[in-house]
Amino acid sequence: MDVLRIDSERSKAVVAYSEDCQACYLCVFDCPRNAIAVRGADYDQSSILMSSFALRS
Amino acid sequence: MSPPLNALSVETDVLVIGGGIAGALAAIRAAEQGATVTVVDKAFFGRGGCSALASGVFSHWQPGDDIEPWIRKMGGPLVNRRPLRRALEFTARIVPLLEEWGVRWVRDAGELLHVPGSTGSSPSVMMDGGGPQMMMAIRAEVLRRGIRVFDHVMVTDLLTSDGEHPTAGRVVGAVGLCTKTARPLVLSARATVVSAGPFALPYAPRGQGFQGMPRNASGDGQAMVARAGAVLGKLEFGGTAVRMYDLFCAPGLEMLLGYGGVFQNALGEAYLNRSMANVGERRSVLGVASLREYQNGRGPVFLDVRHFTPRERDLARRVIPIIVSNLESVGFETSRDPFPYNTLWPGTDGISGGGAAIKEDGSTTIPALWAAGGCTDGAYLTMGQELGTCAAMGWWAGESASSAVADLAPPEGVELQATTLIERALRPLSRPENGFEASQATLMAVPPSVGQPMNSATLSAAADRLVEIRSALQECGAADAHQLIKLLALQNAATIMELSFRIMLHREESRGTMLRSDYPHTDNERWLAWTRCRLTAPSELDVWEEALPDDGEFIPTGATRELHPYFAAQITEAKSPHL
Repeated sequence: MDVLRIDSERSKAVVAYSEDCQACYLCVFDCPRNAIAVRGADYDQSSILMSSFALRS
Repeated sequence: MSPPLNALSVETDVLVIGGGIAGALAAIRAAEQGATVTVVDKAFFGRGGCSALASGVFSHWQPGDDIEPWIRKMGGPLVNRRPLRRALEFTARIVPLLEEWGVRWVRDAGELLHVPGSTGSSPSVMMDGGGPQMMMAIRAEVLRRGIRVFDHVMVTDLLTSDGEHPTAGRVVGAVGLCTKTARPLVLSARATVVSAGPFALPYAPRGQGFQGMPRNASGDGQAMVARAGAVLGKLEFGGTAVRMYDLFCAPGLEMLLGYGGVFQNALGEAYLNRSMANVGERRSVLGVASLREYQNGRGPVFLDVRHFTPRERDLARRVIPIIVSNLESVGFETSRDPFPYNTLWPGTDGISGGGAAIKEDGSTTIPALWAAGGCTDGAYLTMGQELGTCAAMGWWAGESASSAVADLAPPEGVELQATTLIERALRPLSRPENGFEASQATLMAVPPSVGQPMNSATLSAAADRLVEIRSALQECGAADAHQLIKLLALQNAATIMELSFRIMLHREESRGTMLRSDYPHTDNERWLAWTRCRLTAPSELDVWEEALPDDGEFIPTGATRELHPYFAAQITEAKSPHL
């Protein structure tokens, strides 16, 4: 998804396009330094459930 | 002649566009037969696409198994059962071959462990590490065989011998852009295999009820073959699957249902056994049944695996690691919580396979163009694509394409068309101030407007709206290569969505996932046929039906015209309200 890019000046991976993260966790699985975490903090279960119901009603 | 626009020029015998299971097997088989092969993928080959995110199971028919129950489970009256048999038999061969290449199947005391059957799925082996492990092992095998791989290249159009779209000649390769720098590539090929995966509605923001796997599945393959003038098929049957709400990942159904996961509605009732048994196609059973629960006020629907044993839970972590990670990251504990699924709107999901109409050898209607996997109609060998059938299609396409190379002259004179196509693809970079967010939002609004069930008014309006949206997207700009790739993907998705709705308009019946309130019957007298479409000019679409081939094996049908089970169940429920 081209979320991560390399900052060649600092020789570090950076999150360039966080809005395109699809939470596939492949970066987490692959990082040899375990330096990456994916947060699902904005997933509100109750509101998602109600929204899910409302979308189909 | 120098390459246009500082493009990287590549020459190859066989060009494979898309590096999922179908493309990888096409490449390997073509290389085995002596062709020089080049694979391009718009992500990192082995880390992008449906195969890399796959829900960890792979159909595995074994010699000695009775194949007929498999055929019955996987087929409906439109299914061409001869290639389906061949594909199932192929899984007996490919499962051990993949293991030789480094794919790890789950074993129990040394024996391959098979998932019990789920909603029509056949016994499957499981990847120990899921799709990610499988595809990286396959990538390694592809590289070991000397196949050249270009990661991060989005193919934007096919090259044709007469320089025209649609073409009266043959396909001679493709042009593409590096997704990180927008540097162009000109890929000349004697034979081209398009295996760019199924379509979905790409880049949908979270919280809008759309989810695809992967998020950049945009129908690039279908769109490029359509522009080149190939015939397409089965675009009407892609919808009404289920996805985990707002969690961008595969549904994980084959493993979870296979081990006894139960779909429940908001009342805690298991609803899958409620008169949906005869819908026929595989995932459509679940999709249509879940839709009914939502439509009748019993949503949301949930998958309950609370009864899984610790061993089964551990197995899920190994086989579908992405799904388990997603659930845990947002606070679900599968031992404690059922987790919600939503159904998808029409035109947003092509996982069932719709696109280039192919023969069993993967050849399309354009010379020197083959296609395989989720971007095809699968020669109708099933109504829902999966890893096993996509693998078979890729193998057959690679075999056929490489066999044809000796009789195909090297491409010549592609520079002019390549320059034109590349300039067109790059043009949005010249107008970065014309953002595409507004057009994207209007595109997102189209599928819900079609509704479920659909009708001719909503389908016509949606198709006409998409003509306007496609025109608007052509005027949009992009700030950098990353945004350009997204814009090009949205253009492709809008194209395929419009074609899908026009095909749905044409098929005047309800069948499988296609539900039309104005034509609620499944009409095997009139509509036991394959629909086809073709762009005869950039904005002119021909749509027609093709009779089922005489030489296939097709399920004999009894009643010629029956109310689709969805509508029959709704009538029954209206008479006997759910208490």
